[in-house]
Amino acid sequence: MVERNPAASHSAKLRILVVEDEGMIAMLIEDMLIQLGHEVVAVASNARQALEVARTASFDFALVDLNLDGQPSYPIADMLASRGAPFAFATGYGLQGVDRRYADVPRLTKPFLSSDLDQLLSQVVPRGTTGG
Amino acid sequence: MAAPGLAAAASPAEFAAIASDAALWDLLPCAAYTCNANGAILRYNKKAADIWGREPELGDPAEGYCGSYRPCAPDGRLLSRQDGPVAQAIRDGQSSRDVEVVFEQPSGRLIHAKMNIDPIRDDRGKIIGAINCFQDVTARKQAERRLERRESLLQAVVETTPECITIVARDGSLLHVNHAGLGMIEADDFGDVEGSPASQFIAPEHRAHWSALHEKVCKGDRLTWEFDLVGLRGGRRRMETHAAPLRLPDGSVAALAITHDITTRRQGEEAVRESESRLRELLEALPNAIYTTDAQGLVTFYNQAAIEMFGRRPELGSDEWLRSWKLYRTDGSFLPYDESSMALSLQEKRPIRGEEAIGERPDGSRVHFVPYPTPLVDARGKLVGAVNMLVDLSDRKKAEDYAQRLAAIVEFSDDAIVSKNTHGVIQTWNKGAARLFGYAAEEAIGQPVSMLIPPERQDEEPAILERIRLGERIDHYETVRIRKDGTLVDISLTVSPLKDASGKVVGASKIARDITERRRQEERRQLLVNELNHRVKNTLATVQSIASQAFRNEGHDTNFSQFERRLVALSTAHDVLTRENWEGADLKELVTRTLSPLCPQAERVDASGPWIRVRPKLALSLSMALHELATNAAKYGSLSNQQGRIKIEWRMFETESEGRFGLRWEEMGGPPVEAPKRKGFGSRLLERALSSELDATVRLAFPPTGVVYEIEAPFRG
Repeated sequence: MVERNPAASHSAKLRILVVEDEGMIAMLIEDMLIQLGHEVVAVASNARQALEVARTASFDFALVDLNLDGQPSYPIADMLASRGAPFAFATGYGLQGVDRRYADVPRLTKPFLSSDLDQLLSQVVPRGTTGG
Repeated sequence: MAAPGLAAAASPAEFAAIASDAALWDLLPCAAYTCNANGAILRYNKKAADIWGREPELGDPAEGYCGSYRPCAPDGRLLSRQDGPVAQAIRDGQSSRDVEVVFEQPSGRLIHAKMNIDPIRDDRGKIIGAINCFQDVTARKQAERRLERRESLLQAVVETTPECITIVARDGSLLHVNHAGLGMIEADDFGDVEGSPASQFIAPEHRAHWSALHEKVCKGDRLTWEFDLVGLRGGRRRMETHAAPLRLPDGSVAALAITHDITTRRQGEEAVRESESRLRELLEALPNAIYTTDAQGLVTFYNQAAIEMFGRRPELGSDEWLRSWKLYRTDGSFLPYDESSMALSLQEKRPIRGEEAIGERPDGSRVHFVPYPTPLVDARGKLVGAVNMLVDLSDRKKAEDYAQRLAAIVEFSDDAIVSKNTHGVIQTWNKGAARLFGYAAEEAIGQPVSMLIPPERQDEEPAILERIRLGERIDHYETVRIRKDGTLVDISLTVSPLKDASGKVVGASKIARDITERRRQEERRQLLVNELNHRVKNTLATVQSIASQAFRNEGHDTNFSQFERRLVALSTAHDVLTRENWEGADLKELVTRTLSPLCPQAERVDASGPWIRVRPKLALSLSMALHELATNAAKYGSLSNQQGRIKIEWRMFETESEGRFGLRWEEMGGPPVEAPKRKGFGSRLLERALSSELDATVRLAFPPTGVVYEIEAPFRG
C-alpha cells in the first residue's frame, strides 16, 4: 500500500476519473494519484465505459487518454464539458495531433512525471472548490 | 580794455564829419531812413534807395513814412501808407523789431523786407519822428516759399502714392506711416499706431528676419526683402520692401521703407510655376519619349521615356540628339538627318505626322519608331523651337508578341487562372478554371468572383480585395472554394495585383491550384504520425509503469526517479524531432527543452552558438547527454546552489576531410567539484556511449571550479 504523501501534493484531495485503455499505464497513473493523496473513483478502459462513467459518476477531475484503441476520445471530452467537469488530456501526440476545437484543454504529454501531474492538477482544479 | 582813440576828445570838425556825414549813413550794414511825425522823409542811405528802387523826395510829407513805391500787406494787397508800421510807431511810441513787410518797386518787383523801427523824441519826450533800419529779405523769403512748396508737394506725393511709406525708428517704433501704409496695416488713423512697434504687423515667422534686416538698414545698408504683413484686422499680404537709412533732424538714424504689396504678383508667379510644373509632370508621366528643342534643334527639355529610348541623357542646349542616331527609311535606305521629319518640321515650320523610320543607336541596336515633330511659334509667328514625340514601334510589336505568348500559356495552364477587377468581377477565365470550378468561360466572365466562395468564407474576399488594392500579393493561401455542382474543393491561391502602365491597381490575377489530393495525403500522413507517436509514447509510459512496479518492490525510490527522468528526457527529444518530421532538430530548442525541467531559471544557463539543425541520431544522443549533465549539476554541481551558472557553446568547423561539430559544457559558481569515485550510468553514457555511437571525441573533466564536458563529432547536416 502506498502511503499518502501530503508534502508531495499541491492540491487538496481530489476524486479523479482516469480514462486509459492501456492497463499498465492506468496502473502507473493510479499509483501516482494515490501517492499525491488523491482518490481514483474509476478507471475506464474503453470509450463506451468511459462515456457511461463520465455521464453518471461523481468526481472532481478527469484525466482522459486522447486515443482509445485508435479512436479519438473527443465524445468523452464533449460529455465532460457539458457537465462542467474539469478535465485534461493525456496524449502521446505532438502539439499538432489535437483537434483545434480542443486546443484549450490542458494536456499532459506521455510519459510524464508525477510532479507534472501534480502541477497540472493544481492548475486545473483550484483549491477549495472540491466536493470532498 | 579801452581803445587808445577814446582817450582824446573829439573835435567839432571830427564830430560833424563822422556823426552826421551822409557817407556814414552809407556805411551802415543795413538800409536806413528817418522821417518826421508828418511822414516826410528827412534822410535815407543808399542801401535804402537800392531796396526801394527809387529815391524819395526829402522833406515831402507825401512820401508818407515810407520811401517805397507801393507798400503792400504780406499777402500782396496794397496798403495805405498811414497804416504802415512806421506811422504806427510814431503814433504809439513803440519800437518794433523784425517786422516783415512787402512793397513794390517801380519796376513791379515785389520786395520782402524786415524792419526795425524806433520812434525819435525831442528833449521833452515828444515824438518827433522815427528811424527805420531794414533789410531786403526777398531771396530768403523765396527760398522759404520754395521749401514750403516742395515740402507740401512731397507730403502730397507721400500721402497719395499707392506704395506704403514708413519711417521706423531704430528701436522699431513707427515714426511715420503714409495713407497707403495705413490701409495696408488696416489702421484708420496714424495716431492709432504712432510709436507702436512696427514688428506687430510682421507675420510672426518673419519677425526675427525683419528685425535683423531693419537693424542692418539702420547701420547704413540699403536692403530689399520680402515678408508677410498682418494687418490690425488680421489681413495677410505678401510685401516687398526697399529700405534705406534715414538721418532724422535729431541726429538719430531710422529706416525709410517703401513697401509694396506683391501678393497678387506672387500668386501669379505661383500659378505660372504650377502650370509649368504640371505640364512637365504630364510630359514626364507620358510613356512616350518627348523632347523639346530651340529653333536650332538643340534639346531644351526631355522626359524619362526619352532617356530610356535614347539610352542616354542629352546635353541641354548643345545636343541635337536624333543626329546621334543613324536613320533609315522603312525600306532600309539611309535617311540623312537633314531630311528627317524633325529637321523638315523645323525648316518648314509645319507639323509632320506618321513618317515611320528606323534609328540605329551608337551601340548598334535599332529602334523602329514614328516621330511626331511639331514646330512651336510665338505670338508673332516666329519659330521658337519644336516638340517631338517618338513612338517606339518595336516595343509595341514586341509587347504584342509577348502578350500573345502569355495568353497561350495562360490558356493551356493546368492551374485555374482568373482575373478580376477591383470590384471583384471576373474578367478572364482560362480552361484550367473551367476544369477546376466547372463553369465555362462565358458563364463565369462578368460574374462576381464571390460565387466561388462558400458562404462561411464570404468575408475572405473583401480582405483579399483590400490587400490587392494596396498593391500586395497573396502567396499560396490555402482555402476552400465551391464548384458549380456545389462540391467543395481545397485550393492553394496566389493573388497578384494587376497594374496598368502607370502602376495603378486595376484588378487582380488569381491562380488557383487544386490541392484536394495533397490535402488528403497530408491528412493521412498526419494520422500515421499521430498513431506512431501514440504507440511510441504509450510504450515509453508502459516501460515507466513496469519499472515503477519493479523499483517499488526493490524500494529504490531515488533510482526510479532518476530512471523516470531519463525516460522523459528521451521522450522530449522525440517530441522535438517529431515536430520537425524527424528531419532534424534545432539545437538551441533541443538544449532549452532538455534543460528547462531541471533548471527553471533560464538566466542561469547561457547557451550560444550558430543555428544548427542536428540529425535525429545526434539529437537524441545529445539530449540524453545534456540531461545527464544537468541532473548531475542539479545534484552536486552549479545548479545545486543559488548562484551557479552553466555555459554551453557550440560551433561548426571544417577539417580537411569533413565538417565537424563541437559542443562545450562548462559549469561555474557551484560548490567545489570532486571527481566521482565510481563511474555511474551518467559518466558511462557521456564518455563511452556517445563516443562509440557518434564516432565522437569526448572529454569529461572535474576541475574544482566546475564540470567541463566537451564533445566533437563529424557533422552531417
